[in-house]
Amino acid sequence: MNIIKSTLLGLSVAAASQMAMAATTGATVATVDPEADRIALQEYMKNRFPDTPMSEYVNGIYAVDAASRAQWEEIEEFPPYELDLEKGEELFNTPFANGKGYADCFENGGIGIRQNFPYWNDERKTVVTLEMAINECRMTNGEKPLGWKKGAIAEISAYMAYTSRGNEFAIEIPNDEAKAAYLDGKKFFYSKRGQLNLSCADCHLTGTNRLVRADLPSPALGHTTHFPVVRSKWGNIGTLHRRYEGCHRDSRSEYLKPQSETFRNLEYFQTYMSNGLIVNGPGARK
Amino acid sequence: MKKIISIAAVAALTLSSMASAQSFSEAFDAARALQGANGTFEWNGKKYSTQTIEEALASKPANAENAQALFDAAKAKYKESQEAGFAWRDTKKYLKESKEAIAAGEFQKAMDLAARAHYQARKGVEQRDYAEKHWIDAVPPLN
Repeated sequence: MNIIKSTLLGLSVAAASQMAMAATTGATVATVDPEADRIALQEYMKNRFPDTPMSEYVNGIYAVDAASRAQWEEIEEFPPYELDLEKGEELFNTPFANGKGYADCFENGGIGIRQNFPYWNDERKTVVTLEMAINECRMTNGEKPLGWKKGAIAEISAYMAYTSRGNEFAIEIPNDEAKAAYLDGKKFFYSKRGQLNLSCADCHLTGTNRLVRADLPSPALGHTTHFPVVRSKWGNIGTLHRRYEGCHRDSRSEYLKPQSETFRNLEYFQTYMSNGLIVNGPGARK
Repeated sequence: MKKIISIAAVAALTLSSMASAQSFSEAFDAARALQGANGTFEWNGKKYSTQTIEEALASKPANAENAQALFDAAKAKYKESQEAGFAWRDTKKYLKESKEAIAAGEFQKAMDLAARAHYQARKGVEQRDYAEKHWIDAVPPLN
């Protein structure tokens, strides 16, 4: 009888722990808790890298690897994005053919607002990124859209990020539809895919600062704060979605296009994870 | 103390019984690793070959009809993997090359390429199924 009682007790404890786990991690719109996710990710990183202050995660791999940081600090003495910033400012302030400009499309004239992107647009039922808003501003004013990955769009975005440096990200998830977009991004981040069977998390959570061939993947926390970036590999400035495309391709997946809904949802999830961290874009990366 | 021992015993038994219940996929992979493509293995009382579906299809006589059938099957599976959001990078390229080989009358080459595309697409769909069940396991828990 005692054994039966113990068995039932054991099973109920096991069942309860399963239920509790499901409730905290959240795989559905009803159960997902973005704030719990954000805190859990921070806790994970704190445990992995106890000597790294939370505010340092805006610096990517340079927050956790001393040798990479030393090289990066030397690069930052003459930031490789300086000319892009100048170009970005010039483009930002050049009026469209109709006399209007980017400043007319954005809150506060487009200055110091990077931390509010991406956001959930409830009328359109979609996530709007900064680059998407830049191109929509152009098209509303009769201009052709810019390419999504590099060149002018990255330069304008870099200038807008620069005017926002030091501002804390404060991404909001106002309702269940926004939560569904967040969940879609979260699910993409944690799902293994492609011929290499890799998820974003494989490299940027468990794989952070662990060699993948000769590379050290950066921590997922703070990923979006420093874009656009000049990557040494690219030799020029590029947007976050250019990097997303590259990562997706590197997993040997049929890669998505920049600004596709899935990538925008991924950016929404990732940027929410960075809430409380500051804008420090544009950046320089390996 | 007795209670704790009993609970631990129940947990251990449950875990060990879960571990011993090998899925078909696990049994296939294990047998394939040991025997290569020409072996057999038993699963749930039945005998199976260690050949993949694609190897079986590509080993049919190399002619226009079989090449086209395999190409069509691979294309359909590729579409399924795309719709699942888990298509692989090179599958489209293999399909294109397979189509070109059919046009050139190189049927064995076409079948090998279509088989490779089919395999990749099938694995992509399997990834989707796995991800649906397990993606949440990778999320750091809140302690």
